[in-house]
Amino acid sequence: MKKQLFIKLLCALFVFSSCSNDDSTNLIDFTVSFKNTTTSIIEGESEAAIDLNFSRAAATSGVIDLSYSVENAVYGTDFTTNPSGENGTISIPVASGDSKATVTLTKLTDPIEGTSRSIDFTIASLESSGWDYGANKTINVSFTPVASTGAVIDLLTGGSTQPNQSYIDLSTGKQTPVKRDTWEIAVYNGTENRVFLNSSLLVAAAELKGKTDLLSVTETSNLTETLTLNSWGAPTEVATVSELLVNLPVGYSQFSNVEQGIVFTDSKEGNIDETAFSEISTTASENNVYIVSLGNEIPTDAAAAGALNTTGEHRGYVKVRVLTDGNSYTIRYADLNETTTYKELVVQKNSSKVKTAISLTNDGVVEVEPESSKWDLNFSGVFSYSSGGYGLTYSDYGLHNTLGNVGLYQVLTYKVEDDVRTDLEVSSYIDFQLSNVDDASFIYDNQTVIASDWRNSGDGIAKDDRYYIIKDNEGNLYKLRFTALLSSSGERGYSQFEYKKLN
Amino acid sequence: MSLNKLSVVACFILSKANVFAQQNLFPKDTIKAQNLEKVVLVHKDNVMSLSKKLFSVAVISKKDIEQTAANNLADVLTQNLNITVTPDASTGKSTVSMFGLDGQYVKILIDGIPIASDNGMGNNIDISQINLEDVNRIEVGEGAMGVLYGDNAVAGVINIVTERRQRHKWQIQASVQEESIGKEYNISDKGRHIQNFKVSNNLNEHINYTLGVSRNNFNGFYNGYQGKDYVNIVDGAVKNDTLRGTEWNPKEQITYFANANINIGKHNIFYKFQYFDESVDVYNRFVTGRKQEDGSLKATAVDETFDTNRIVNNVTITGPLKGETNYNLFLSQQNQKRYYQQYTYNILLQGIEGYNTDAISQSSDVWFSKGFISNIVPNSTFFNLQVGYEFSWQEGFDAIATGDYSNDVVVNTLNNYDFFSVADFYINKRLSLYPGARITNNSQFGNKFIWSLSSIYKITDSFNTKAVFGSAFRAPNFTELFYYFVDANHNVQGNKNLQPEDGISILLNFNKSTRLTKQSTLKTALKGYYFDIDNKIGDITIVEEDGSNLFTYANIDNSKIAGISLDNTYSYKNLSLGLGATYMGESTTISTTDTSNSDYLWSYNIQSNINYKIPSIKTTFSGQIKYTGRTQVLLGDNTGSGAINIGQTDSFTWLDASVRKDITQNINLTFGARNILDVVTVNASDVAAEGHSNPANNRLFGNGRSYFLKLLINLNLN
Repeated sequence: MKKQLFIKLLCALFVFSSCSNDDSTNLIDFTVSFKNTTTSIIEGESEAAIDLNFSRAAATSGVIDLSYSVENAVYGTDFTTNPSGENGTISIPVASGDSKATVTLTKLTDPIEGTSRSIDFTIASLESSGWDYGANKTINVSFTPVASTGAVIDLLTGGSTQPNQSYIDLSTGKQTPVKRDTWEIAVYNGTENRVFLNSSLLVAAAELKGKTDLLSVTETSNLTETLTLNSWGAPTEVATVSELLVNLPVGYSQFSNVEQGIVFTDSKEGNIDETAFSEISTTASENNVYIVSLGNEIPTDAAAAGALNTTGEHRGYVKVRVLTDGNSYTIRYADLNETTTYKELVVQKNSSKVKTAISLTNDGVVEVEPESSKWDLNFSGVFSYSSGGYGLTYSDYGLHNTLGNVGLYQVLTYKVEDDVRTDLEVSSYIDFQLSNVDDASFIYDNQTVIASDWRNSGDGIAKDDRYYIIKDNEGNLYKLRFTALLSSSGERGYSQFEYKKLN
Repeated sequence: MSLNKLSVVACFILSKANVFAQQNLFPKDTIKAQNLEKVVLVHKDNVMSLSKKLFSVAVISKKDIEQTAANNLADVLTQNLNITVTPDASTGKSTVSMFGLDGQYVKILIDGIPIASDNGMGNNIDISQINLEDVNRIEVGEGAMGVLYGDNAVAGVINIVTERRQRHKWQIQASVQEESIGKEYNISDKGRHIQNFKVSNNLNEHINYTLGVSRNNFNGFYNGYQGKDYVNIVDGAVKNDTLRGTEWNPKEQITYFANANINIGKHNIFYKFQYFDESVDVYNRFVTGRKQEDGSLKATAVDETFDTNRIVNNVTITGPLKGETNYNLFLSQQNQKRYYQQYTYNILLQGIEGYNTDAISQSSDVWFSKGFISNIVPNSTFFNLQVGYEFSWQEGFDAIATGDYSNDVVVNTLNNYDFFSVADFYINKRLSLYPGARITNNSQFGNKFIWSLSSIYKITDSFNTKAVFGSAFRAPNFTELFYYFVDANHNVQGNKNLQPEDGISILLNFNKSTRLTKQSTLKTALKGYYFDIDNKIGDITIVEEDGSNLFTYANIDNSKIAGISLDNTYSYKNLSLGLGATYMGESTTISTTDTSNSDYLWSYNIQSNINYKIPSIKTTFSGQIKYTGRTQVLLGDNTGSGAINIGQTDSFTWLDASVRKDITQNINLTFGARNILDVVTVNASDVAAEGHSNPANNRLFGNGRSYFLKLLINLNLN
């Protein structure tokens, strides 16, 4: 009798204990979707990459078949695709582990002026079990430009080593990423004769007062006067070039003497009269030699999810002397201990751009900034400057084109003090409209209104307490808010914002 | 609602127990019976026990464990006077501190063999991983016990002794335990659900064995958090209100265990096997909400799973070597691996998108051997000797302790070759002295010498004093040795040249047992203790040649702990009452700062328990209460101003009560409440900040008041 009871209870117990929950390991459905529903391939461009996004990495291999329909275009005459679509279907193989697929559209001819031309691509079938269609089954590719009234921008800063700075034109929605290490200095194309440093690469420069002979300066040279420079707040006597090199690079221990105005970086605000280089004089004898710390390499190893790895090995030093006649710059430079020959670049001022970037390591002008009217924001993976006696490095840094006459201001919706949240009497991002724009608030003398304050890197989020109003140099008004700091899988360097045109 | 009712019942039971306590019912000489039982036990498995002769040892019996329905070591140690159990809500780990010294100074053994820990032997153990299903008793030894137990046995040793033999030919035991976590409970995904199953068989008079499994499914403590599928979307964007996840992370533990006890003549072989598997889920509070091109929102969070596997194979062989001289041999092979998964969880679709990391983050392989010969001079009434060795070989790595930025995961090998000896001098009938010494050769830091001296003086047969002087050291941990975090703005590195911390302890015990009447006794233990930890590892800032700062560790601090505790146990028939208190102070010198603080920071704990058995209804009532006083610690200062801050954790009281009833001979039921005073957080100003965020101003200690019901079925077949 008792034994029976025992066995019954035992059975009950095992039925009970076997109902454990094991839900969390289920993968989400695999779906395939065009990244967007419209895109354009405009004059001057010959290729467009059309992305098919997956909801997650493919667990099995398979094939995606696309069909297409054309308007005023002939395959093989006006365009081709890769993979080929010659027989009317484009078959894209997908390997296990892939997280997206891409069709490359190559334009062979431009459409005749006044006629429209477009191609519709449609996901016709998916050749693998369990695959499904996502939100965008069709994409329209137009051969004429489409004005942007707003978009979501996935910033192309390039991941946890933040290899790129990216220039963004809100009126076209076009983004131009440039590797941070392609240039070190840039010359100003305005009336004033100025030299800027590449703050996204931690470039720094020190003027050697009273030294105008480039080749006579070496590591062992004495300074014309002993400088008292501070590092970590501790004063150090610096009498030679080699002593100066110790803490010239950007870092917490970077030298400066704020009282005497000795700072080895450009100001963060980005104004032309606050640069490490003094104004370049048209009188050659007034232009001193500078030691330029070439910044730090972009590391090759990605960091773990949520973390960054942006500062690699130091790239060394060069000595530089810049001359000008008011219309062009003559840049003479050499390795620090070179005493026989120097290199020389002559760069004409280019009025269509704010700055012309120069590589002192690849010896020439580099395409970095788009034309001054064709970028509003520069989102730089890394940004550095000296402040309060320390050389500081920031990441995920937003700048606006103040020198190109772009204005921007921030709208704060609430603040938190001592754990108490106070909502401010402003519109939400969604409700903000043209009539809310305050023209007097646009800031033109500080490029770092966005800076890195828009995100909380410890928590890995874009803050939801602020958005921005932007006026571009053509008078277009936009509202902009950041939506994400991290990629969906938690990596840094894939931030995202969205914006909408207000007028 | 029904839980409130239960609490009323619990209170009623408690008050009832007090009433009973004042009545004289059911005379029975239980004390005598207990003494007899002890004598029997000593001969059977004393080799696995802590020596009561050499140390001050307290025992938590199987009955105590059963009465509180404790599933793991953390459940049972919360009521110990000189031990504080500190749970960590984020990792799910519970560690002990003893006399104010944290888990790195306390060594935990199973049957005298240290448990392999993340990166050491026996210390800094997560005691919530130690299952108690096959445990006979738990011994808590206080003071530095380095001579017999080696490194890290500074504050004390906790020894878990396995149940080795039972009376019946077959014993089958199964139990289920349902427990609320605070007010949270349901059958599927809230609360705590425990199932145990065990079979023991006496095959013949020489061989017996036990097989069993225990599962503990803790679904996490939500405490207002909204779980893993929560996201707040406002105006088309994710609003991070940090309500995702749980306050305490959910975890599931399964322990499989087996042991065999074999007697060959006078020789005994005991084999123990354990396989432990724990999985802890950590849900990110922060959600990434990326806009898709079609305007829809994709809400994801990067979540983590820590999966710990541990395999233990322990063999103990004992027997007579020659005459009364005995040999004791311990062999152990242990392996611990922690698998780390980091994955992207799509909240709206409620599924995993992909894995960022799926790797072993921690691993340790341990071989251990210890042997000693005891009772070498059996015939002398004045002198006796015990000599032994202890070797351990450990290889492992810990990617989490060495930091995210560490490129090379350090595989460290740690070998110990130790020899030790303890001598007994019986000076006269009343006084005996036990000097001991150990020489350690460690592959990391070379030779170390450890000594001890115990003495017992019997003033009368029922009143004795025991003095224990001992030394032990704490070896530096992986983080202190190998941590690495260097980038443009940081330079934090471990110090490979760290030396162990040296600990010395003095314990003075006065034990008096008084028979008050024929049926009642009072046992009083007065204890004074003093610890001096020198070369204590602290963090320092070094200004490097280029003027930059390096944050690292060095043997620079000193800590002194002094205290007194008084413990009384009163027994009268079926009632036992305990009342104890400890008063302790710690004085710390931080060498990096100009002002060193030598004042003692004092704190006190009070513990009381009651146990009352009513044989006629086969029911035992028990209650335990522990007041943990405000504790203060000296905090270093990293702003460079040289100022010293005192941080503190406020006091809190832990009250548990339970009733255990034998329904039939085979079935019994335990019902109780833990944390009746509903402690969740305790105000604290000594919580370290994580990264750049501000430190929390409180510390999580409990899950709130919870209730449990345990049904146990036991079948004995002969």
